[in-house]
Amino acid sequence: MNKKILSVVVLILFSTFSFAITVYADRWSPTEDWGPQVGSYSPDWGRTVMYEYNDSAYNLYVSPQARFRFTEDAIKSIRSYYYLYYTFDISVSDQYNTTVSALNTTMYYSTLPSPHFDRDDDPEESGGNGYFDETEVTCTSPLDMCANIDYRFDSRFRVYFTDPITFEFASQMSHYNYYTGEYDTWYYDIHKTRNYPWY
Amino acid sequence: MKKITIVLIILVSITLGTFGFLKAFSQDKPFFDMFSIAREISQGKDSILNYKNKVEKVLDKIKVGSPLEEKYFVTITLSKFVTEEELEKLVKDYNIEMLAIEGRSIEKGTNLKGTFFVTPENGMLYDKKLLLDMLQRNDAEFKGFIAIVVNIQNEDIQKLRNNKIVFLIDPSTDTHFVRNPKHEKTNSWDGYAPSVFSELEKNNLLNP
Repeated sequence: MNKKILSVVVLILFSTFSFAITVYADRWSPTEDWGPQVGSYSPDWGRTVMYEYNDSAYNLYVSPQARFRFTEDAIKSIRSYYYLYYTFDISVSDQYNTTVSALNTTMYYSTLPSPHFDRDDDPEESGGNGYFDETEVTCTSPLDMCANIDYRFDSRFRVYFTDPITFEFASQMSHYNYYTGEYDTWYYDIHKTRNYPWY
Repeated sequence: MKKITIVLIILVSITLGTFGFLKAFSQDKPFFDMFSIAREISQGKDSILNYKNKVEKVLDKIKVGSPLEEKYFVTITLSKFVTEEELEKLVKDYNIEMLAIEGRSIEKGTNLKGTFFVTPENGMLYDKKLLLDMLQRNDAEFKGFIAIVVNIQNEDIQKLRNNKIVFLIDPSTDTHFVRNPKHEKTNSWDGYAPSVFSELEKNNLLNP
């Protein structure tokens, strides 16, 4: 009889504990790197990782992060485009996903000089689905960019479900479209795709 | 005589047409273009001070030409590294509706400058714990707040202009002056004007 009670108690303790771990524990994905890229403006080395955590209201977030370095040639290339600006982009490959969203309530970090942050609900033409699938940081002072510096972008998405999605880590050269007032992508180079959740 | 009449009619229609076209064209506000601002302010100390003068003239104009309670969507570049207490005081004293906060951090190993971009959440001006966690993950130290993206009334803009903690109140992306397709919702920071704080750092224009 005593044994039975004990095993029930152990079972309850164990399930509470594992529940606590799945809800409250912060966790890191393994890192994955990229090497030489096609775009002349692209960083030829980069590292990606995802970090999952809860805020004080127990909302679940994932922060996909990238750090990357440019060669001298890539910096020369970026500086040579007078009307194009370098943008690092982290977005969900499926624009119609309802798993995550880059909320207006947010937290970004970048070591790019003079960064300007932006989020989008693609596809732009039809107005998207209300879930923001794209986050990006644009360097507005390209002359301050240097080779072999650890540039970083930490993004953040709110997680609503844990249906599998894929994040894309990409470089873009953006230009200003005088007819639509939008910042359009001129060149696009995807460096890495990562699945979330990874566990 | 007939010829002259025909020529006159043609001339009059051309004049009227041109006039109508120009009028229609001028009624369309230009689109906001942050890259042109970025190019404008990146030519050294004079360029940033010229830009400030240009924006101050716009603020002068709304001071007399717009109702005191009219709200504007502006990016405020601060003139120094601002503490949490100073930021809270600004919000209170000038009835600021905070949309986003830009801050500076320094990475410990490399001395590299970092920029963080946070927003009010869970009833707080920003989530301090989450911010410090994020900085720690990047081995970076908090240095101070450098710019804010806000909605603010004309009346408070005019008062805040005289506060030395502020370098520039920039309404360049506000839809009173431009078309800004990025800024669909008034309570969002989407489509904000870039802050000019990095240029202040570069050109030694920070207040001590």
